[in-house]
Amino acid sequence: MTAAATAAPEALQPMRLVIVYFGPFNVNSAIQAFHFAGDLTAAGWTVTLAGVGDPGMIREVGEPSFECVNHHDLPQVLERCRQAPEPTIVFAWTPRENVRVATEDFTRRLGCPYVIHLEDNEWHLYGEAVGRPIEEVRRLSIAEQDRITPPALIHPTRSEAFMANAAGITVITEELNEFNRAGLPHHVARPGIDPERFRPDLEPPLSRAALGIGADEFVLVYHGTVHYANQHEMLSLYLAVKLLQRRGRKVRLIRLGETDPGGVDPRSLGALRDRVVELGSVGWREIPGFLALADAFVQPGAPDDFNRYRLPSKLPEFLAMGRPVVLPDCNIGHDLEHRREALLLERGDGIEIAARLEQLIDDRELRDRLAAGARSFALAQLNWKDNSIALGHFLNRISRAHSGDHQSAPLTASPAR
Amino acid sequence: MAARLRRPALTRRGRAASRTVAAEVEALPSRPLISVVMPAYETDPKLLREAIDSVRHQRYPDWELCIADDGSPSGRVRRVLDRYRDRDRRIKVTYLERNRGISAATNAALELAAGEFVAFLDHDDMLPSDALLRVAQALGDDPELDLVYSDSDKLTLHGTRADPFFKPDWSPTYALGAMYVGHLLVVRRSLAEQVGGFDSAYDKIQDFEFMLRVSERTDRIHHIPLILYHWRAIPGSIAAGAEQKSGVPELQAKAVSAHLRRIGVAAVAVPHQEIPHRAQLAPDPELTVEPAELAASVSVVIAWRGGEGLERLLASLFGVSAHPPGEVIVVAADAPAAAELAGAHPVRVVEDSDDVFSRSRAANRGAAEAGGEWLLFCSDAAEIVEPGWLAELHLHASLPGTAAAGPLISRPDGRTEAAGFAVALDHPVEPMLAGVDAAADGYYGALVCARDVSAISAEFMLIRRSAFERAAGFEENYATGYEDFDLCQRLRALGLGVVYAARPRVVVHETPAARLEALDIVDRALFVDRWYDQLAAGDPFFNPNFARREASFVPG
Repeated sequence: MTAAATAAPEALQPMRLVIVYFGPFNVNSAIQAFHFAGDLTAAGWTVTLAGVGDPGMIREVGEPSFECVNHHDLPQVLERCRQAPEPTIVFAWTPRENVRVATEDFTRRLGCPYVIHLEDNEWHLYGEAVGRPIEEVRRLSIAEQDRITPPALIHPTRSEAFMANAAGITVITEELNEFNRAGLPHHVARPGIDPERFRPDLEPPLSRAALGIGADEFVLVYHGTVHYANQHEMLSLYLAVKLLQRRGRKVRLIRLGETDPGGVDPRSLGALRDRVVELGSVGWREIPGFLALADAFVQPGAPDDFNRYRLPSKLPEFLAMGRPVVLPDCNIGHDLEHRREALLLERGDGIEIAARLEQLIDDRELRDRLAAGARSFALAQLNWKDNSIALGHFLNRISRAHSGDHQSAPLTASPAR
Repeated sequence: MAARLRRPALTRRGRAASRTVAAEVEALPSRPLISVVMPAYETDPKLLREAIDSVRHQRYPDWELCIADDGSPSGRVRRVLDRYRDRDRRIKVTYLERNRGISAATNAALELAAGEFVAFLDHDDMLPSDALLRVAQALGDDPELDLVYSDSDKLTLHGTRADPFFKPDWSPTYALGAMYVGHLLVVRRSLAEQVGGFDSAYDKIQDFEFMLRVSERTDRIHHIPLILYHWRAIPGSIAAGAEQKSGVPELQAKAVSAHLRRIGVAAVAVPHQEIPHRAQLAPDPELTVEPAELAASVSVVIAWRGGEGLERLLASLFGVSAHPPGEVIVVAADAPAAAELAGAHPVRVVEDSDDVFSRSRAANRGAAEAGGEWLLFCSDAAEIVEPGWLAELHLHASLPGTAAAGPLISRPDGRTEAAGFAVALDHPVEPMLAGVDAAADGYYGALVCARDVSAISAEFMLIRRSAFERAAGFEENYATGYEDFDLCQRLRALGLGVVYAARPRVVVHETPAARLEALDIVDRALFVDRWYDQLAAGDPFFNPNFARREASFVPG
């Protein structure tokens, strides 16, 4: 984190914030946008969240205290901004092409700065989705790149200027700042957690006995869809449970979410699921109660190029629940102390996960220490309001720096076309 | 006649494809000049024109065509070549005054080449239009490559494409037994010159012999699993059948034996008795250690769960083998029963005292007790049927860079059970060529020729002890199986090779396929979990054009 990001001596200055979000309003990272927008609105900011699809979907997350619009409605927002000038900043949630187009158009017309938020290795995702390395596609003509690049991915070439011309970068995990090649001011915009919704003493909505789980069994709960991108990680988790059961350990896994097996050996995955309690999809609001069934949580995965640059949204929830957490030694794992706040995975395969779980099962004191450490970490580091205010200070500084650079041009002046 | 040299007008579909190809050319990080080298001799003018046109129609623009006419007496070849040379500056032609043979003609064409890479094209064969583009892409992806080869097929006299040859990635072991690299072959020109070009002493198999010498200088060899070469099957050519050219098997064996000498392997090549254009390796009697001394260096480790097969195995080990192994260790849950079945055979029985028998743990325990330089793991379902098995297996396990070798595993009825194993994500381990007559050639020699493979089975596996220890032995989290396939992956991750030896043949009474079916599914999942990325990338020694299920070399 930059020094500028950690120190926040000045009072937060309300300003206008337009968040240009890449997707629909009810997906995981939209929840983060919802919290940032809500907390800054509460601090006196005027916030607009522009996404894809029906803005009403935000109500699946919560009742918004700020304006929600579709990307198509941004011209109206722009017109209002022109009519009521005040310092404005655009927060581009990822550098993906649909965000880039909307952001560049808006900021060019309004003459305001923009900050880009990184929450994934977008360059890796591009290669996975298109089936060709992005470096290879970048060698094609711009017209060809335009043709093959879908709007929900970054543009191999156009994203470079978009990144370089930003006034600042925010990242969900420090590793993502590796992509800040222009050396722009950056800030770690960590998500938060609602410590009341996710807390250690929650009562589960149903008992273990109702699920056919014995009182003496060690229970893991994992929520999230199994899909092509994470099926290897889920195989590792299922396998770890099976290996422990084969060793005579009483361990059970409860799964929430859908399973969409892709290319992985279906016999392997299928056979490993036979004693897993699969509860299917559960409403977002019900998840904390089900998490309360757990003795521990595991976020499977290797500290590889995929996991290094992301922060699975369920990790803050695991930590806040005050249970021992096993997770890869990367992203937020770098900030957690091994054996005090979490157990870290070096490889993330089934054998290693099983070994970590055996440590937990055999060591009551370790379990208690990790449970307390996880909760403390969540309260200290994953506070929505603190993290939103820290983001607000960063955006204040970016805005001030921009207005200093552009003293001759009013912030809301209409730019030349 | 000049009109014949013009490209045909593009159709709408052709224009769309052309735009795509143009984009692919534009995307290349580098565009090395590729010299297509072609020797010609008394070629049917029609076929010659087709061969040359196939180069002229390449979508990759940076090529030249270097042709040497090997003193064709009739003049018709010269007429065709002169016409092309005069109309296309990218075509260079030289005429040899007298017929000097294909190697000399190829070398003469090679002298014309200015490209960073040279591609070899016979005078009546054809390249598909994207051949050089795919090569340039491979070279762009890895500029360190010295050699690129592709899959190929044949053109019948009527121009019909047939007999696709889907090859494995570079397998130095397979290259000893079968002329498998073939065409399209693209080599860094400086390397081709360093090895002295083609050797006239090996005319008829000159490209095979050339490949062996090139492989002594580089292992930066890449296979493109696409058909980038159409080989004309005309009477008299090897494409029409290796038996069409007399003396080929002997020349092939001579080339391989010379190669083995140069790389310091104590072996000679001999033509296969029934399929003579396949070469097999045999110990060099002048260089190999004494068979008895070799046998003394081998410790046999049998992890025995129980069953009558142990008696049969021991009887064959001591009764059929030309020389009995140095020691035999049986790790058994029921030690008295093992001792009783061992009878008078000199066997050391080690008791496995754990509650639940684990083959991986028992095998590791046996290996720890063993004193031999070589470890032979085998199951009690195996039966030795050939006296010279150890020398042949040892020879293949001793090839440069190789750690372990396994035999042809056959069923009692003479059908193949496994000629090595292929690995994949959706079908983690499949025995290769299961059900095929064990005396057959297999797919392009895949049964009779030794090959590098991704895995062999501990039903019968000879491994250098140092390699076994370097790989930390068998992973003991496997309870019922897959530990052998896992070990092979770890050996390969260490850069060590695993070889299907083709010879000897070992009969297995409980088939590996049946064993795989009976295994604990958790072990299968464990194998997938540990090697997920490698399995997802595909088996380098099993062409992606084959159906994965059953690994029978059937295009899928």
